[in-house]
Order: sequence, then structure tokens, then C-alpha cells
Amino acid sequence: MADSTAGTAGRIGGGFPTAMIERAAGRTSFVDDIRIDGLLHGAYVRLDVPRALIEQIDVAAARDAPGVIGVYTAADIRSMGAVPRFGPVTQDQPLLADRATRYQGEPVALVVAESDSQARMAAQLVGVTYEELPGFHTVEDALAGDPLHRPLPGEQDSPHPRDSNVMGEWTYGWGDVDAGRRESTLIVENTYTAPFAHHFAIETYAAIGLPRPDGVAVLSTIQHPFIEQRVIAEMLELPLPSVDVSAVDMGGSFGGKGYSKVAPAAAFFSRLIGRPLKIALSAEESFLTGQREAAQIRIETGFDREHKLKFQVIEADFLIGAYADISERVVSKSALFATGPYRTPAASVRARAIFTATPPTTAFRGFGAPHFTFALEGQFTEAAHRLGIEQWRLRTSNMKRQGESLVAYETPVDGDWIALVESARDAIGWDAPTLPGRGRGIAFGMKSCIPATTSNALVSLRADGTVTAHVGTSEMGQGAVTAFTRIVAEGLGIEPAQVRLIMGDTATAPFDALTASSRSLVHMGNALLDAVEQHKYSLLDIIRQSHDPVAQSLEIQPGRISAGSWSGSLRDLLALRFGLNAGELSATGTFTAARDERHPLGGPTPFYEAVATAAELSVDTATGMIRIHKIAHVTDAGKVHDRVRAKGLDEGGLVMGIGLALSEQLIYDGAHLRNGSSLDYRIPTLCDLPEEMVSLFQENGDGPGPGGAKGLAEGGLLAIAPAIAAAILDCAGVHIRDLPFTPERVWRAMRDQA
Amino acid sequence: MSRLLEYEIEVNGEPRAIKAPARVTLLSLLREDLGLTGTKVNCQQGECGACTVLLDGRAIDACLMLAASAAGRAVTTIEGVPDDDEIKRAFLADGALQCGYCTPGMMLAVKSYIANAPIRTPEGLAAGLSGNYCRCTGYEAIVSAVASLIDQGREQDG
Amino acid sequence: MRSLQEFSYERAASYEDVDTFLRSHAADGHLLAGGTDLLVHMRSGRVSPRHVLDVNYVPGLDMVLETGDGSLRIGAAVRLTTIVNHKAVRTRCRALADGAETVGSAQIQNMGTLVGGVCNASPAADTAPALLVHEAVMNVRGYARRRRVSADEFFIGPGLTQLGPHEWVESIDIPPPQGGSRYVKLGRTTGVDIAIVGAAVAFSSQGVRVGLASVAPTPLRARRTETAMSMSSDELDWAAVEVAVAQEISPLSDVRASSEYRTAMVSECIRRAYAGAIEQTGVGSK
Repeated sequence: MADSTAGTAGRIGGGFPTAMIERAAGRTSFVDDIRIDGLLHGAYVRLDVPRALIEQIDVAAARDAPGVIGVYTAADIRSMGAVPRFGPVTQDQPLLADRATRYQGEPVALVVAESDSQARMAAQLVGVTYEELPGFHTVEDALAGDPLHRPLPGEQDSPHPRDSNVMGEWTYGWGDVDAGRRESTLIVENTYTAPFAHHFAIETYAAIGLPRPDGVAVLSTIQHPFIEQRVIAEMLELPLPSVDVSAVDMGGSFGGKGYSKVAPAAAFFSRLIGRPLKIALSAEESFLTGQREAAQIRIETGFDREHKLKFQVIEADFLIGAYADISERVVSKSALFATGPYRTPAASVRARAIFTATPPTTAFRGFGAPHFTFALEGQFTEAAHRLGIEQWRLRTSNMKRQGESLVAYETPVDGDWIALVESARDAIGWDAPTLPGRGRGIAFGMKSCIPATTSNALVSLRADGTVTAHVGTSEMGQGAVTAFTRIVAEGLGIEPAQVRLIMGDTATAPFDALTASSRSLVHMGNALLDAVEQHKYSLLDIIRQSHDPVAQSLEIQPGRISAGSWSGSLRDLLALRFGLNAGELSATGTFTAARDERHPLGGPTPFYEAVATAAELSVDTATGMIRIHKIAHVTDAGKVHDRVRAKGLDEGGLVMGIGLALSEQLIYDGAHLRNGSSLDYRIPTLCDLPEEMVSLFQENGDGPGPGGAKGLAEGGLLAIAPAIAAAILDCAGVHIRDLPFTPERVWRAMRDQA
Repeated sequence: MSRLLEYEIEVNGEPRAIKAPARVTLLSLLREDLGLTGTKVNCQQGECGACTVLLDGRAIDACLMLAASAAGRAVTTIEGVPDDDEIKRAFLADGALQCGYCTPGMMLAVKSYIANAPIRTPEGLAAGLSGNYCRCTGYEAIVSAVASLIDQGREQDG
Repeated sequence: MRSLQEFSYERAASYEDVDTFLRSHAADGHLLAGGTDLLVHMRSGRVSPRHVLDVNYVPGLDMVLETGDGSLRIGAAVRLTTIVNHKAVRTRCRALADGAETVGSAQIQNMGTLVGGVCNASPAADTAPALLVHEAVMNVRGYARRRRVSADEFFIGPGLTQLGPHEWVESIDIPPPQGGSRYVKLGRTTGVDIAIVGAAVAFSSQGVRVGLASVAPTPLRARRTETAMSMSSDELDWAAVEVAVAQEISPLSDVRASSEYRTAMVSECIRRAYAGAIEQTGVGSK
């Protein structure tokens, strides 16, 4: 739980929020830093093969190892033939593998000991006898292979299809695609691929379970404490209030810590044992716990002789690992916008979520949009190249304008996206001739926000004139604590140091749907504003009742509140009503985005996150290595309140995007992960930065958030990969459609073309 | 029962008496035995730099050092960096931290670079921090925060 | 990743202490210098010593000296950072400074030792090619004897050296230079990475010397390539060089690169190291 403590933030000076000062000092407690008397430690036993039929588990040696409290397998926790399962949409993931493992590293046993090293050492002593089963990690193999969720003898029924590995399929379309084909003078057909990838938050997954007489409390690396509360309560068959989840400050998440991973086990086993229990994963284990979906997208795009888009046929296969997690939603939600911002007279879209015998994929910054954008923008890049017209022009001349409808029952285009592309074009210096050996690319990206969700904020005016705000939002580095502190402080005319934010705790905060989808500034920001407005009304009422019945309106200035003939501090005003130090005011603000049953996702998006990214680079023709000279990125932000924070989120997303574009890939070999460690999976370091990075904001005040803000946090990741691909095409004449563009891949593409 | 070694390490300027088995790493000693949790854990392979501390003023990865091997030496962790140190001000002012998890290691790596690099250049800084992963900031804000702390082209005899 | 198992820890106070330790614990003991390889191997389970001897505090072991015959003698406890910044190393065997600089991050360089990395004997060791092209000599000792082993003969397989069970390398001698040298490495990105391939080129009075990393089970002295490079009279015939290179290397395909790419890139690295070595001396070897 992030906690910005009221009090002097003045030790460093410069008016920084206390929470940030603590962070810079290394004093912020992450889950693994929390010390509790009598805390036990759990370590999983995992197999090194993709799939295994478990024959026997020998725990005797482990049980006798120093410090060991117990060793648990599925047999120890089966109840009426079923191992407890959890999941945010479908309860499909067992706490421990039942008769078989479905992915490499799926936990088969849990060793609990007095210390982490004792637990890990004992885990090495557990002997598992198993028969290896064939694993699969590609579309072809998954479609041809053994249905992963067909229950094995003795296993409980699965909620998933038993006769195929296709978890779900979504199709839609409009217009006459065949007519579109006939009217097209240029048809571009390609298949684009993206491999599995890893969030690689520097903090790994961890959770602490604290048993209570009526339930359990959990301290967790979780973005969505209320969802985790429901998931654990469902698994334990307890009422919601019996499960408290506290979202401890996270060391990065990027979607990976959105949905329950180790907290259900920490909760369950702590109750079983009756003592506090921590499960903290190593970096290698984190690789095996949450990943980004792989995808293969075949796309056919037609343009007529006026360069107008005539039709799109899009067939997307997403590989989602062994369990559902939230992946179904990732695919269905992003598929809705597969045709992007472009006027598309006819379209046919089919998207599938397919199980593979690999670790479960989950939400990842961008939530499927980067995959579709990579394919769609790649088509425009290639078409522009073949038609001999400017990349940006083919896009802007086909792009919908603000107010135009995108899909049925959905929010229309909510920003000037054409201007966005033009801004990125200008910021990269498109009109200036490119230096020899360099190429330029530009791409547009967009994603919708999760619809129909609610945020509540409980804001209390304390007797001493300070303010406490309880919000369910979690802090993972996106700066919510800073943004919310400012909203409350400005709204009530007090100093940021006088605001205390208590975040992410289901026991103290009113319901908040989730911290994701770049939604919190809009939803929780508005809920805080609503609470502030309610307070202003109450404060005016106090003045009318106690002092000046004809006072008309409340005026808030720094440190001073006035209405009619009364003027004073917040503390004075509360004393007016209650007496000195004798009372406080509380208000719960709410913001609920619209629901619509007709909409496939439950409601229209409150806003779009839209960006345009341009890249200028050169390719070392001997090695295939790419050197990025400049990135220009423009975000349709609506209104930016904290420029340092917004720039930081965009730059972070861009550099993460560069990693995913140039070097990051999980390499599977028969569903066996070959590079699941920091040595072998290459994320960007300071040496991998572009020479210049420009990050700009379009602020037309046309968003639904405070001051006209829209959410931003994922934009950096949306269009960077296709922008780089376009620049490579411009520079080296090859259109690479498979991520990542490693030096070897670029080298091969150039060689094959020559 | 493992045999306990007894030795002394100076931590943040204070001599600390240690009693621990041989297999304890410096990282584990700092976090578990001494309760200094500012130094963080991630890869445990010497790649990510989350566990960076200063050993006699030079950046090392605490995960790769046996605590006993640091006996008689001086270790500086983030807890030993005063709040009014200009590095903290520079990082906060430029937004060079977001989640803050890599920050302790990053700051100490910066301090080591500034104190020890014979010549300071942007390329040298990048190389000097190449062993500190940040997944949040994209590094740009870190570069600008540190730029204000570095004198370009200052030479020392090598 | 495993936890570290139990073991005993002691510090050597002298060279003789090290000899004695290896006499008793050849099979179940390990020397600890920088720890950057040892601790990783202990966690992965690749080695499980019962006894560890810390050699970081042996007086004299961390020195860089000039010997009587003009060689540069680098002690077993000399850190990579020292080598990167050392004036004599940068002047006389620049390829070694290059290699030390690319082994890993600043933290790794501050901890890791040249000798430790060499004895770890990874085929990808960035410092090994420089030792090969400078015809370095390992000063090996054990309780029973002392001997000198050329870098050429030192590496016998992946992770394997010529060292007998009771032996250790107390220092490495780099003979007086005869020309410039550079080391060029190709990784997956511009930052720190294990070598996809690496090439060191040095000029000697007899011609060019070439040492390669990540192309064979051990670091490789590429003699056929050297012959091809010294055949040309004026301009180097790079096509012939590429043919010779392909004949004497046997790179693997792994998660970093395919053998095909490695083969193609070796010549490119040699080309760049060659140009760098010329620049470093100001004259070519012809």
C-alpha cells in the first residue's frame, strides 16, 4: 500500500512528495522487504520439462531437511477430488499441478520452511517421477496437438474446451469484402508475428498471506487488489470481507502483476498452516509465471487507384499459454479495433485465443493493441512503399476524423489523430532530406480503455486541517500517488504535504475496479474531484448554517476558504461545525463509466489512447545491427498536469518498445524455454538508447479526465515497432514482419533480398 | 548445523560484527541479517544491478560476493547516502525514478562512476551504468539527472 | 536457481596457502577470486565445492609488474577495471583492455579478475583472444612444481583448461609488444552482452595474429586465417580470408545466434579489429 505521509517533505527540499523522497532513499517497503515475526517462507518445486504426467512425488528427504515446516502436493490439498483453482475470469489454474503439469515450471509442490534459503534447499530434495508428454508452443502444433485441457484420468472437469486448444474465437465484419477485392488495384497480403515476451519488472512476484480467524489478509504485488480479493475469496469460498488484499508498492509491473499469481497460494497455505507465509519468486521463476502473448496475424489490405483503403481481412491467432488468466479479454478487446483508425468500407476479422503448453500469458502494457498495430501499420508502410507515396500521407488520407464512428456502439474518434501523425512527422523533420544510409518510418497506434468500470474515493477532512484519501488504486511507478495528491491539494487549497494518500487496500478503500488500461487518472481522478466537490458543498453548508445564511458560493485559495462574510482555514471551518478537534467530514466520490449491454465489451471506451511515433535509423549492412538516431513521439494526452511524469511514462514505454522491437524474445524449443534469465533475455540498458528522443503531447482538453485529460501510460509501446520496421524498409529496402528485428534477422532479410 | 564465521565489516561508516555461515552472500547479509532492505534482489547473476553497493567506494554486485569475502572492507548501501546528497535531489527533480526499485543500485553506480572514472564522457556514463537495468524510466531522465552532476572531459592520470 | 550449499570458507595469506589448499582439496575445493563466475556456477549447480579459498587478500597477487625480460606480469587478483584503465596495458596490448571492458558491466569489471575469467575458460571469454594474439604465458604453480604454459595450449575444451587438479595460475605474462592490437566484439545489442563472436588482431614482426571467441569449443588462435592474411602482398584479399576463417571455425547455434550468422560475422569482426590494430600502431605489419 503506497502511503504518502503527511508531515515535512522538506528534508530534500524542492517540494517533492514524501512518497517519492522515501522511494529515492530506498526506504519504500516492497513485499520482499516486509519483516514479520514468525514469517514462514515457501518455495515451489518445478519440473524442467514442458509437460509431465506425474507419477510419484517423494517428499521424505525434503520434509526432514533443516527448518522445514511442511511439504505440500496436490494430494494434500484435494478436497472432494478437486485441487483448489483460481483465475480472474475462469477458475482454471490449480494451486499445485494435479495429475499433470501443463507448462514448464508449473508448481508441483510447495516447501514451507523457516527461511527462504532453507525452503529452496529443501525443494531441491523433492523427487518427482514423471512421464514426459509432448509440449507445443506454435499455432500449427497447438491446433494439431493434444487438447491441453482434456481432463486426465482422476482429474476434475475442466472449464475449458476438451476437444481443441482453441479457447475462444471472435469474428465480425461488415461490408462486401469480395467487392472490395475487385475494386482494389493494390492488395498487400502478409503475415506478421510476435514471439512470447516477458514483462521483466525489476521486482519479481511475491505475496504474504496472514491467516485470520475468519479469513486471511494478503500483502501482494498486485495491481488490482479488489480483483485479487474476489479471486481469493472465490477460491476459498469465503465472503469478500473475509479476504483483505493490500496492494503493496510494486517495483514495476507493466500488466504482469495485474492478475493473481502467487497470492492465492500464500493465502491458502498460510491458512492451512496457521502462520504468516511469504512466497517470493526468483527472476527465473518470474519468467515462468507471466508472459506476453505471442501472435501470428495474417492480413490482407486493399487500396484503390486513389490510394483509398477498400477492404481488410484480418486473421489473428494469439498464443496464450496454458491457463486463461485474462488472455481471452486481451484478444477479444484488441480485436475489436483491428482495423484501427482507418475508413474501412469492408472488413472481415477473426481472432482466436489458443492454448499452448507454455506459462500462462497475461495482461501486458498495450493489452493486445501493439500486436494488431504492428500488422495494420505494416500494411500501410508496405503499401506506401509500393505506391511510391509518403508513409504519413497514406495514413492521414485514410484516417477518420474526430467524431467519426469507429465500431458500432463504441465511442467515436475522440481526438485529432491526423494532427498527431502530422506532429510526429514534423518532429522527426520529415521534410528534411535523410542523411545517406538513414531511413525514416512513421506509424500510428491506438487502444481503447476498459469500459464500464467504477472508481470510488473516500476523502476525509481531518480535524487538524489535513486530508486523508483512501483509494483502491495501486502504485507501480506510474505516479498515481503524485497525481492524486495534487488533485486533492489543489481542490482544497492545501499543501501536498498535508494530504495523506492510503492506496490499494481493500480493507480501507472503497471499491475500485482496477489499476490498468491507463484509466486511473481519468476514473480515480474524477472520483477524487467528485469527493472534493461534495466537500465544498458541505463546507458551504456549514458556513450558511453556522455563520452567514446568505453566503452564496465557496471560494478556495491556498490556505484560505471563504464564503459570504466568513473566511478562515479548513481547520477553523471544521471547528465551526464540530468544535475544536471534535469532528471530521467524509465523502465518497464516484466515477462510473457508461455501460451498454449492446456493446461486445459491455460499454463504450471512456477515451482512446492515441499516439504517433516516428523513427530515424541506420542499418549496419555488415552485421544487421540497427542504430536508432531519433525517435519522435506524440501522445494525444488531452491535458498534461505533470509533465515530468507524463514524459517519463512515454519514454519508458518507448524504450521498452525498442527492446521488444529489437531484442526481446522468449525462445522456445519444443515448448522448453531456452532463455528464461536476464543473461539470455535481452532488455534495453542505458547503452541501447536512441541518440535523441523527443516526446510531445497534444493537449486539446478533449478528454474526460480532470482538466480534459485522457489516460496515458501505454502509448509509448503502441506504434514504436511498426515505426522502426518502416524505417528499416526505407533504409535497407526490406520489410521485416517478424519481431524482434535482431541483427541476425535484419542481416538475413537483406541477404535474402540481394 | 553450519559453522558460523565471525568477522567485521564496516557498513555505512559503522563497524558491524557479523556471525554467519560461509554461504551467505553480501546481499543476503545486508537484507536479512542487518535489516538493510534498501539494496534489492532480482537476477542474482550480476546482470541487473539491483543489488549494487559500494565496496571501498567502487560499485559491485552484492549478489556475487560472499559476505565473508568483504570482511575488513567498507560497504556503502543506499541507507548510507544522506537525504541531502545532490544525487537524490537530481534524480527527484528530473523524474529519474518511477517505481524506485532499481534506484538504490542506480544511484550507487552513478556515485561509483563519478568518483572513479578517469575521464567522464556520455559514452563512459552509459557504459558505467550498463549493468543497472531500469524498466520504468527509459533511462533518459536518469541521463539528464546525472549530466548535471558530471564535469565533461575532466581527466585524471590513469 | 538453487541456494548455495554449505561449504567452508578460508582466506589465503600467501601463495603457499593456495598450494596447500589445492593439495588437500583438489576434488572438493575451489578458489575464489572475483566470484563473478564461481557464484553463478554454484547457484546453477554446475559446481558444488565443499571448501572455498579466498585468494583476494594474498599480498602481491593484485599487482601489475614489468618483468626482467620486458613482459607485463598480471597477478591473479588483478581486477578487470585495473586492466581496462592501466596505461601499460592500453599502450602495449590494447586488445586486452578492449576485452576486459566488454566482459560485463562496471560492477563485473570491479569484481572480476583477468586470471579468474581465463581459468573459467568459456569459449566466449572476451579476454582470451587478446592473450592468444599476444602469445601470453600462464605462470602455473602447484605444491609440487611450477611451469609455464602458453595461452595457445592452455584452453582444451569448453570450461576446461590444462591445469592439473593441484594447480593454479598465479599470474599471466604478456611479452613485449611488437605492434598494435585491438579486440572487436559483436553482441545482440550495443550494450553489455555475451559475445556472439569476438576477434582480436595483433601485429607482430612476423605478421598478423588473429584470436577468436565464440567460434569453437575454446578460444581460437586462427592460424589458417593468419596465413591467408599474410599471403596478400598489398591489399588484403578479404574473400580469401573469409574462406580460411570458415575452414577453421566451428561455431554453434544457440539462443544468441545461428552458426551461419556467427561465421559471417567473424570475418567482419576481424576486419574491424585489423583496422583498429593498424590505427593503434600507426603502421601496418607489411
